[in-house]
Amino acid sequence: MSAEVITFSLLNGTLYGMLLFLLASGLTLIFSMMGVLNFAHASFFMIGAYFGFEISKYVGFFPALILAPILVGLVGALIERYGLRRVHKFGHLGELLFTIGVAFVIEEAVQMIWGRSPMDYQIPAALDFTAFEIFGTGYPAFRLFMLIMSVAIFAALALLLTRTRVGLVVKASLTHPEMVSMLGHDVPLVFMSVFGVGSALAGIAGVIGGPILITQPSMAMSLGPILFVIVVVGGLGSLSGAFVASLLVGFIQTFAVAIDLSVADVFGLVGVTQPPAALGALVSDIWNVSVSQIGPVIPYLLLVAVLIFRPMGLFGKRA
Amino acid sequence: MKKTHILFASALTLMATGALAEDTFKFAMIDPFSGPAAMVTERIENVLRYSVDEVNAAGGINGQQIEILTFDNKMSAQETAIQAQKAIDAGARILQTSVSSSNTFALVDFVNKHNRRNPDDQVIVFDGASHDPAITGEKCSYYSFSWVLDADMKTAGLAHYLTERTDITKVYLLNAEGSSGQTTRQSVIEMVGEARPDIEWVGDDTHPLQKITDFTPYIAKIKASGAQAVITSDWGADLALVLKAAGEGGLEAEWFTYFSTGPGAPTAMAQSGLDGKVYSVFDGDAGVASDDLHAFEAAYRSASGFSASPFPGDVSAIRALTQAAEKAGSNEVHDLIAALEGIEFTTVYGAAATSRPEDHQIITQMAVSKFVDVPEGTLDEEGTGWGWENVAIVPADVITLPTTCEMKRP
Repeated sequence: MSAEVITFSLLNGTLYGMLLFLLASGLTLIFSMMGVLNFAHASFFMIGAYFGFEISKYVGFFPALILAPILVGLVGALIERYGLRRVHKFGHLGELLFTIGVAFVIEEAVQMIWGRSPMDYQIPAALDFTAFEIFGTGYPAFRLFMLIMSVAIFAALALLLTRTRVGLVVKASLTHPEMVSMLGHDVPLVFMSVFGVGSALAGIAGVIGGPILITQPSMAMSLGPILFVIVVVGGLGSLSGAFVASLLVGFIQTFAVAIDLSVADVFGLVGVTQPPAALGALVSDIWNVSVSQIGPVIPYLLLVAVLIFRPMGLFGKRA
Repeated sequence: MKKTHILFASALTLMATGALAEDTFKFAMIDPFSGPAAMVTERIENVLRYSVDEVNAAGGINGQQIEILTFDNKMSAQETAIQAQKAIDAGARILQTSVSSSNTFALVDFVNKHNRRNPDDQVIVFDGASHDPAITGEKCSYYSFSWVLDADMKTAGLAHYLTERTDITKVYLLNAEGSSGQTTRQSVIEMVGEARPDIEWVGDDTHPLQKITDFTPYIAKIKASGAQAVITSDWGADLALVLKAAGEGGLEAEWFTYFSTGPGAPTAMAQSGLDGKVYSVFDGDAGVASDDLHAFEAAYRSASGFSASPFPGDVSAIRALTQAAEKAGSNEVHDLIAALEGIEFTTVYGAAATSRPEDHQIITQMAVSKFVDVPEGTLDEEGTGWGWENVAIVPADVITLPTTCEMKRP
């Protein structure tokens, strides 16, 4: 692997990881607060992209970057207040099923409103230039902007949770809801706010991810599964775990693509060029499969491995 | 008084439609009307209805109006067979499926069985868009007709075009896993390799199908390989994402694609800013020089807002059917099949076409075009201001491959 490929893989891996983190942070926040694995989380990402697209048509991209997440957060808060809170009394399974239902409803609603074709959501002109050049290749400013946004949000979230009174109340509501309630805090309101903020974070990811990915009704379903990998690998409910796992998945996916090594190459080093016939057809099938081919599947292998060997995840506190 | 009038009028309409339904020629469309592929189905249905309306306005086939019935196969082969039975029960004479070759195979198998068991109630299969060579190859059937060029014919056309592009010597292959991507990859290596032995394959990547959200690592890899061109059979979201990533990464390589005329791809290509770098290797496109095509496109676009040329199979199917019905002088299935074999008609691109009697494969020209920022007033795609500029028409005889079909005739 050349220095060029390594540099670009590092950059791209960080960027993709940070985009995933924007999504996973909201998901893991909601989980740690309410114990709800929100299957509709990627759908909030999708409506963030659609809202961002619609609003930026009228007032430009940067106002949309603020307005769209607020709207998504409101939608999330309303869903928590009038949906999830009512389902809460039927236990976690009910809540889980509810969020799956919400995911489908949002997808259908988006199809009804905007149709099935992709939207022409473009990178704003102000950010459509080359930020810097390395190895003769320009790096787009918009990607750099995404990176800065993600890091800023991570820093803000971490500060909010560890250094402010709000963070204290949120963390206390997580572990001792009755006590917090006794002290005069409105715990259901805290829950609703956390759900709203979590959704708004997904909304931000949608607004800045929309122009790079494709703004279409299937975008939620295509990103959903990988989020659960991150949350589980990082440790359910751990913000720093989600951060590390997001970067890990980002790096795995980008570096794997660059590696053309296959089983055949490994055995070629020790002089074995043909798969042993005794091992049968299965081995000869995987003989020539390279790492780059299975790259996108590796995170899921990681998910399985973590669940077997460390069910609480890398940074999780409970199983 | 008014009420009775309305009642009377609606009763009349009911009777009229009832009478109409009695003696229409029923054409069933069995495709995924729900799920992620529904977007493609919608566009296909639009083109099909438009062509059928044209025929009906001119008096139909042998005086009979064509009526389109739609059935949702939910993108599943099993459901395709179930819906085919429903279509036949509803009186359909022709069953068309377009979106996936596995559904086409299921439909052909079902109809073969049905026709054997019900010699008095036979039906015809039309394949409107799935370009798998097996449909008119090993799976060919006397009752089935394919109205688009198959993947191998298009690869032969690409190989022919590349013989003129001696400036391209380093080529990268990027295909999805799964049968469509992999068979295309194999035939590209064989046919382009034979036509241009000097071409070096600087990369050959297989990626998961419709699962990747970030293609930048692939673009970095292609760039590092020094490729001058990429050949890809990717489609839908994969194609859109990879081209957007290429535009962002400032990749200079040219792209030879099989499905860049499809829904969503032009929007992504215009966003990517890859001016003149993406080539479509397809049956044709709105850039093909033909007055008939441009007139058809203009009329169709003002009616639907979309471009008709990504779906040539439907126009071809309806035109061939109309011609065959006229030639046969009857709308009976057997007379139609006999007339459809070797039928000569004009495609939506204004090109002469025929259905080869040996395997029921359409034989016609194909086009290689590049996607550019077109001048105002020229036909653009998806309202982007970008459109196709034709660079080569590959004549039918160049891409006609020997048939591998062993057809069982009744």
